[in-house]
Amino acid sequence: MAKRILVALEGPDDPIVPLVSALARGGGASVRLMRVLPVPSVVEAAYRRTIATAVDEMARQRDRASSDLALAAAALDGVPVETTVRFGDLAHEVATEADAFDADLVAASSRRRTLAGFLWPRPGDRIGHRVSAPVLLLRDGRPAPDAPTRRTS
Amino acid sequence: MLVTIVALALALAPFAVITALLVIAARVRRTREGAVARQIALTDAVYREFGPVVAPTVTKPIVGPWQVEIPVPFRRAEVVGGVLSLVHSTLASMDRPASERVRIVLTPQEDAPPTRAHAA
Repeated sequence: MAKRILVALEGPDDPIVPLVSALARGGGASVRLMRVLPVPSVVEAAYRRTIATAVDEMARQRDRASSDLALAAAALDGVPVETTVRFGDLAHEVATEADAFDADLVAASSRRRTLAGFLWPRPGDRIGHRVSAPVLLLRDGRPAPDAPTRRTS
Repeated sequence: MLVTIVALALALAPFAVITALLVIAARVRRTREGAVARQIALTDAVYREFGPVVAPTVTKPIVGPWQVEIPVPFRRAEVVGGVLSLVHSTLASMDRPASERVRIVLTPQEDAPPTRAHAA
C-alpha cells in the first residue's frame, strides 16, 4: 500500500479527492496535494497600460490555488496533508514533485478519450510517462456529493 | 564501386525489410502474450481475494508503461485500496521494474455484483 501519495488536482471539487482520502486513511499514508498552473503573463489594459505584472499575477493565482488546495485538504481530515502550487508544464512539474516527495503513487483524475477529453484535459490526461512512480488515474469520476466547493460572495 | 554498393543494398533491402517485420511481429506477439498473462494473473488474484468484484484489463501502449484499467465500486473504498495493493504486488511478482511505472486507470463501476466470502 502506498505511503506517500502525490495528488495533482484540477480544483477543490476534483473527484480524485474522496478516493485518495479513503486510500490514505486505509493505508496510513501521507498526501501531498499539488496544483500546477501555467506561467502567467503581464496583464495589460488599453494603450498597453500594465494592470498587473507577471509577479503580481503569479501571487494572485498562487493565493487562489492555495485556497482551493486548503478546501481539498479539508476533505482529507485526519490524514497528514501538505500542499504545493507550481507554475509551468504539468507533466514536468508532476514528475519533479514526485521525485522530490519520493512518492509511492501519483494520483489524478482524467477524462475518457473523447473530443471533450482532448479539448479540456484533466491533470491525469497530461501527466506524461516521465513519472517514475505508479500512476493512478480516476477516469470519468464524478465529484462526491459532499465534496467542498468554492464559495462565491 | 558505388554501383556495386547500391546494387548490394538493393539486393539486401527485401531481406532487411522482412527481418524488421519479423522482429516487430515477434515483439507485438510477446507484448500481447505478456498482457494476457498479466490480466489472467490479476483477475485470479482479485477473484481469490475479493470474489468476482472487478475485471481488470491489461494493455501495453506503444509508448509508456503497462496500463491496467479496472472498473471499481468507488463507494467501497476497502475494495479499491485492496485492488490497488493486489495490482502492485501481482505485477511486481511478474516484472518488478514494470510494476514501478504502471498506470492504473480506475473507472466507475455502476452496479457492483455481490461479493462472496473469502474462502481462506
